[in-house]
Formats: sequence, structure tokens, C-alpha cells
Amino acid sequence: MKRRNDEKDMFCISRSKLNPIPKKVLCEERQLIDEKEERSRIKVDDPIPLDLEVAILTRLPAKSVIKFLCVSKMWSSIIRSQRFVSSYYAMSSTMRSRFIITISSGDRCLLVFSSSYESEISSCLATNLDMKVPSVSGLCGSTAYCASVHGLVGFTTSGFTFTVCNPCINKFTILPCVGARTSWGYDPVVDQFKTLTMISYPYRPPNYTAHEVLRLGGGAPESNKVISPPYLTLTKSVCINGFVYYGAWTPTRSQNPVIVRFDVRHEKLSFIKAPLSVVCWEGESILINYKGKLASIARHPYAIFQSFDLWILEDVKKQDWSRQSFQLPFSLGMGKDFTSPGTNKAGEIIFAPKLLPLKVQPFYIFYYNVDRKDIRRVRLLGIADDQDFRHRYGIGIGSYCYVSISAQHVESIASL
Amino acid sequence: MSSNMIMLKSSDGASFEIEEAAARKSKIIANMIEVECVDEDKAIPLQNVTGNILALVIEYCNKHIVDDDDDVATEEASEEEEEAKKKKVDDWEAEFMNSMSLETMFELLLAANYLNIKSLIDLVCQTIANNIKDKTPEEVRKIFSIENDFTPEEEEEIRKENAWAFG
Repeated sequence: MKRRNDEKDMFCISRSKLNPIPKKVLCEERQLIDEKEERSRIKVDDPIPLDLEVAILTRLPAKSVIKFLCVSKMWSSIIRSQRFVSSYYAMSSTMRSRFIITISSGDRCLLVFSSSYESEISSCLATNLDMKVPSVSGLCGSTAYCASVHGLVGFTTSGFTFTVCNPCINKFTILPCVGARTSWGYDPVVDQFKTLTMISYPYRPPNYTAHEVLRLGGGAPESNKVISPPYLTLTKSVCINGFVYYGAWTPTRSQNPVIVRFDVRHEKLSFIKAPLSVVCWEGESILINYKGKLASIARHPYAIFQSFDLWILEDVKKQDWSRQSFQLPFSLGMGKDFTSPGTNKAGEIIFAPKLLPLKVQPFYIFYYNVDRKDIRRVRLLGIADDQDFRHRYGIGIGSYCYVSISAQHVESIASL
Repeated sequence: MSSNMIMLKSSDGASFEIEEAAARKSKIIANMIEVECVDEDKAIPLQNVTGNILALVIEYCNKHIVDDDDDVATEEASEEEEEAKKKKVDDWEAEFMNSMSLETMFELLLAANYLNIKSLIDLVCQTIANNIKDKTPEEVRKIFSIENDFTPEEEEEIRKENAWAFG
């Protein structure tokens, strides 16, 4: 390589020697050559084809992509194009899967931490604060909901609002919703995000249940009303491949347990018969995406958490569920204190505490391997483990903070 | 596996002998072989690739053809073996790219693009991305020979809107 550089230098010098040029022009030329020489250390002679520039851009971290918006008008329009946003996501989903931890301090703010999977095998994951969503209060308790869907994190906020943030590009949007119970969905076919909000008062259903759907992206959200047979829902929802699922009773409490399935694309709701133990713990039930299928971790929330049933919805049309029982090698604590955000890429089921500990102590999550039937403990470094943690992030010393984890968040540069 | 040797000739006249299996990593050369426009006695002229870059391309192809053979032979290899093998390739690739200047990387990228070697394009793009991710927009313009066509006001606006990314 060195040889080639030398050759280039020689070429430049010899050219200026061979061509006699008027003095004034020579000065300018000389300056040009100087600049050229300096550039040639890092620059190639042929321009880089656009498709290769795009290929390089899709491999950059989101923050760098945003920074390079101001390189040129061409780069800016590439980066802002829908096509680039999609290919960036596609690249991310193969190589930039992240682990997201959101902490809601109830009345102050929402903190979004993330970790890459680089050190997945080890017993700790380093975390970084990605963004702080200020002056919104995340809802706590059974209606608190936080989910990462197709690169955007949606969570319920107080005052009938729903907040959507993209921690990778530090952006958030607050959506007005007509009710407190909102689910976050994405339709991969037409590439559109939607929210589904229940309008009907859940405890006294009339002979139907009303919902509002917000279609997002490209300007002001469009709203659509969707009616379904009456039901009462109390579980959180999970979005899998264009469908939002949550547990419910039909038509009212303790009758006919079902899974409500919302088709995000066609905006239709249907009911799938569900085993009683999938729904019966209402706000304490756990629904997850298990290898692309809806599944439930059924355990007794008011007993020591040492065993669970894994119910998998094997066939939506036949409403066919499979059930496997597992015994944990040791107890994790009270059932209700733990939830499962789903699995990692390898299919291990993750268990995580729902609350930030009040005392300073290491924050652990657990990975259960269903084939080997063993469990391993992973410490999340930088979460609640030093004296200064709460003070640093403006969380009250004694205040309860809800922790929500998205195990397979994909880095995206999209925003609403 | 055929061990036919074919000849490649760089733009600056250097000739290289390469195993057909390795040369087939390049879709362009593979196609040439398919339609039988490769004369065994004659070198394939590659007008857009200089000798020193072609040497790198050939080093890459030779390394990866061996790995592909291994994959076929040990299809039943255990997960750990697979992982160990993958790590070995990753380490080799890291070492291969490590000492390269950014200029060489771009030349290698253009060559890989011209010869249509997908995995090499991916590798070089990723290495360039790692290399420029912490650079300023000004430095990136220089590297890609891009002229800044924003007015100072327009640029300031973008920087202000995304101040977080420039921190």
C-alpha cells in the first residue's frame, strides 16, 4: 500500500513539473494539488457507488446515522427515505438486537437503559442510559404497559396518553388516547404502527366493547372505531407478527377465558378459547412471544415461584394449546414479584423482577433453558447497584419504580 | 472438488493463479466459467482491479473456500465446533482488515463490488462503518469526497434538531 502512495506522490510532482503553467494559475493549482495530496491519504480515485454508501450507512450505529444527516443533501434524503429506514431495520434485526430496560418512577420520568448482547454468555450485562423521557408519568400497577415493537417502545402514560419512543435516536411522541388501556401494535405487511385503546368502561360492559384504533406515521394519526362482542380484559398485551394478543373474560368477569386477538392490519378482533390458568390471574398473568407463538407462563402469583406451566398456542385456527410443566432448580421469590419479558434469541425464557429494589443491591435477571432445565443468573450492571443510582436519575429514595424489559429490541432509526 | 487453476490479470499487468473453486467466490468469474468464456491458457483481464488489491481479494477467496469445504465435510458438527469455527473465521477476518488503511478498504470494496463477492462487500462495509462511526460529518465528507451542499443555516438546523447525536 505504501508503494502505491509513493507512486501517486511521484505522479503528482512529475505532472506539475512537466506542464509549464502561468504563475498565478500555478499558485492556485499548487494549492489544489496540496489539498489533493492531503486528501489522497484517505480518499480513492473513483467515487463510491451510491449503493455501497448505503450499504455502509446501514451498518452504522443509529446515533452515527443521525449525525451524518448533515453530510450532504443526498445523504440526508437517503437516510430519511422509507426504504433506508426499512433496510436499516432489516440489518439491525440480524446483527443489532438489543436488550432494553425501562424504569418508570411513576410520577417523574421514564428511563430507558439498553445493553448489547455482546457479553451474553457472561454473568453480567453492562447497561447504558439511552434516554430519559422527561415530565411524563408512566403508569404503574396492573395497567402499566411497556412494549418494544419493531424498534419503537410504547408505554402507557397518565392522563389518557400513550408515549412512543425510539431510544436509539433519542426521540419520543406523546399520543392522545381515549382510554387508559392501550396496546401497541405493528403491521409488518404495510409497515404501519397502530395503537388499540379500549373505550368502554371495563367493569360494566354493555352488550358490546368499543375501541379506538390510531393509525400512525405520515402526519396526524387517523382514528377508527372498532366494535367487538363484550369482554373484560385485565392482562397486558403482546404483539407478535402483526397481531396483538391479550387475555380476557367474556362477556364478564370469571366467565369464558379467552385470548383477544387484534389483527393490526385489518383492524378486526377475534376471540381464541384459552385455558383458565392463562387468564385467571388477570393483571398478574404473563403472556409472551415464544419462538413466534403466543405463550403464557402460568404460575401462582401469591406463592413461592419455583415451578410454572408453559402454555403455547400451537394453532390459532384450531384454538389448540400445548402445556409443559417445569420445576425451577431454586425459588426466585414470590410469584407476583417476577414476570417474564419473553425469550432471548436462543429461546431461553427470561425472568425478571417487576420492581426496582428499594435497597442498593445487584439487579439480577434469570435465563431458564427448557431443554437443559437449568437456570442461570445474569447481573445487569448499572441498575440500582450503587448508592447514587436513584439520586443520579432523579428517582425518589423510597419511591416504587416499575421495571420493564424488552429482550429482543431491534435498533431502528424510525420515529412517528 | 475441481482443482482447476485459472489465471487472473490485474489492470497493472500482474498475473495471479487461483484455484477455480476460490475464483468462483466472485459471481462475475463464476458466470464467466459457466458460459465457458474462460480460456485455460489465457488470463482473465480485470481492468478495474490493481495487482495489490487483487492479491488481497485472492487471499480472502482462498481463505474462505477452505472454510466452505469444511462446512460440507462436517455437516453434523456440534454447536461448539461450529462456534469455534466461526470464531476462527471472525478472527482471521479481523486480522485481515486490521492493518488496512481506509484508502485500501475503499479500493478493496470497489474491487469486491466489481467482482461481485457478497461476503467480502459485507465485511469491508462493516469495517468502514466501524472506522467512521465516531468521525465528524466534515471528516466523512472528506473521506467520501462529498461536497457539502447545505447552506450554513440548513446545516445548523439539522445539527440543532439532532443535537443529541453530536454530543
